[in-house]
Amino acid sequence: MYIWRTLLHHPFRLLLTVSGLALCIVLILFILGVYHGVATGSVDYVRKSAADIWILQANTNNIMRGTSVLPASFCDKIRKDRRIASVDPVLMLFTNIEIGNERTTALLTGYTAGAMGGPPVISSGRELRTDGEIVLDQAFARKHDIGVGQCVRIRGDSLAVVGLSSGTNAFVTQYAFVTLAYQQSILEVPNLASFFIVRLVPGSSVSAVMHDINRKFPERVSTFSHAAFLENNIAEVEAGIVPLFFAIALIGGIVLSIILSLILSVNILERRNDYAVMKIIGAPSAYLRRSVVLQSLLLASLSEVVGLLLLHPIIAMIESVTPELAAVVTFQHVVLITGAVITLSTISGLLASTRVRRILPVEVFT
Amino acid sequence: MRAQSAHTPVLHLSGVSKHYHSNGNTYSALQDIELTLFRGQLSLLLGPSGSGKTTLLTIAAGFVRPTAGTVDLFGSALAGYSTKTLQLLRARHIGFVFQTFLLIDALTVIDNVLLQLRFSGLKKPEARKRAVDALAQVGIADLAGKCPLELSHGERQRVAIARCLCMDPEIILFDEPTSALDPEMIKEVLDVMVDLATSGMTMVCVTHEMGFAREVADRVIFMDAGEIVEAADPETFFNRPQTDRAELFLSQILSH
Ligand SMILES: Nc1ncnc2c1ncn2[C@@H]1O[C@H](COP(=O)(O)OP(=O)(O)OP(=O)(O)O)[C@@H](O)[C@H]1O
Ligand SMILES: [Mg+2]
Repeated sequence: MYIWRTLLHHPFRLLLTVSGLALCIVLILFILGVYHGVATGSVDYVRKSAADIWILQANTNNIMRGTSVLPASFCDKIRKDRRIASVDPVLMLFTNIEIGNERTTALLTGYTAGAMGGPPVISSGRELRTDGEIVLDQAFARKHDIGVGQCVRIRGDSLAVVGLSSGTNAFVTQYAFVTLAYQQSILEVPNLASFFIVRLVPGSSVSAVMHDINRKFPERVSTFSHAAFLENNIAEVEAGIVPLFFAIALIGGIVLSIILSLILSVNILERRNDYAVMKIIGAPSAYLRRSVVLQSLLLASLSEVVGLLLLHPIIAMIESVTPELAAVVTFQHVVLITGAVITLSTISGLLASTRVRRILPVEVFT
Repeated sequence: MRAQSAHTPVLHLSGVSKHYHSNGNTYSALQDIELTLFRGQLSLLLGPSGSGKTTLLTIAAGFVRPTAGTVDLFGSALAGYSTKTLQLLRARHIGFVFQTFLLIDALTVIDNVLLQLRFSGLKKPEARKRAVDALAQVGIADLAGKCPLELSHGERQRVAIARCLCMDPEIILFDEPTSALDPEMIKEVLDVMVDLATSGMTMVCVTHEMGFAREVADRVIFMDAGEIVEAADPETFFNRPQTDRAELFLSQILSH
């Protein structure tokens, strides 16, 4: 109660402190959310696939940051195995797309309509049926203000946008989907594939099939189980962005701790007399320490509530300016940040409380 | 501690000196103080400004360590008390009333009193009852919900006294409790103190209220330049001071 009253005694200072802390919390949550969004958008293509085995060019182990080129004819040779239910080639190339007068780039993914390798989730419209159609990532479409029913051009060829996909926004680029045959023809790369997606007959051994494929194309291919391939892609994405995001989140945490420590110190300095009086009337040192830590926790929790309330409007605002920057804040993030905020504010409170320990009762007698 | 007879020493200072060092010089605030205070007595500390009265009180309550000498409080050497014991003594047995009231302005009157009881470890329902009683005892029960800054100085000082009383202390130390008050408020505070003295509370009081001193003090201790110059009953001290220094002090203070 004492704490609450002393905090409310300076409403403007309280407002400033809470706003500062809340913004730190929003920053950290936003960064976590963007990280999650990028990580999801980058690998959902792999994650959501029902593949059993992925086959790439030898020495390539991911599609995020690796180039893989294989002859499409391998497909027929692989298919001969009776344990294999299907093999579908996919060709992935960065390609220029023209939208009106704008020219932009997407990760153009060619696959066989109705087979494996298409968009993980169609959020509006439909999947591809024939050549001359394209499915765009929804953030990409929003950014370029284009929708289902409109057209884009690739190398002068007009393609009808028939659907929008989600889980295909890797932030630095977005996926777009066309039929494999169409892609091979307009890009003039016939008989090429980037990788093959294999599905097995139920009950077949993934490792045994992988072993046989590797033997059939010695030194030419790398094969991966679905789980291993997903992991490779996640690792690749994380290697690129985790340090950066971690650094930003860390800075947010440090700024939060500094603001807290600073305001606690100011409050203690200002309330020096009160603390001296409490010592005179016999306050246990644990009580004094607790009151500073509680003050810290109170400020931090208040800020977190404000931060959480501000989070959605702020994310919506940022997304309206840059649709491709998708922040996906999950419940785990909120739990994580709550844990961090409690830890940091307790530490800040404990550190600040050492100032109270140094206040002498005799100070008030002079 | 309580059930002992009168003339049990509550506080005993022996050979107590206090030196302060600043800018390479040493100032002596107290020199070789010998003093024993007994249960149920009201002792008055008189002396000119800078004579060491406040220093003596803060040493007696353990807020300041003497440079030399020993302080026995409630029969044990203060120096031997642990931090925890000292804290409990302040929370339960030693009251301190200072000229600037020492209240917490962010808390209401009753919460100021309750804080004391909280530190003394009293459970809530009992604490509230005691707090209300203490406020009633000093005649300000109706101010319980106010904040100190809404009160007159006299009322604030009574809150400070109530805060001491609520814990039923062994001793209350007063340091110029009325010197920050307007004349018309001095009486209301002194009345409370007279009541306390009559009820047998052990009290040490630094004051310049000579009427009060003559009327209720059991003993007068006159200090000058860090020394106890005279210690006598009020009758003797005011009518037949033994030293020139006391005489000079009295003549100055009574000429007002
Ligand atoms: N912390 C300190 N550092 C240095 N000198 C001090 C300190 N506290 C007190 N003194 C000195 O000790 C001497 C006694 O001070 P003290 O406050 O005990 O006097 P006092 O009798 O209470 O005076 P007053 O009537 O003005 O309150 C003074 O000369 C004072 O300057
Ligand atoms: Mg003094």
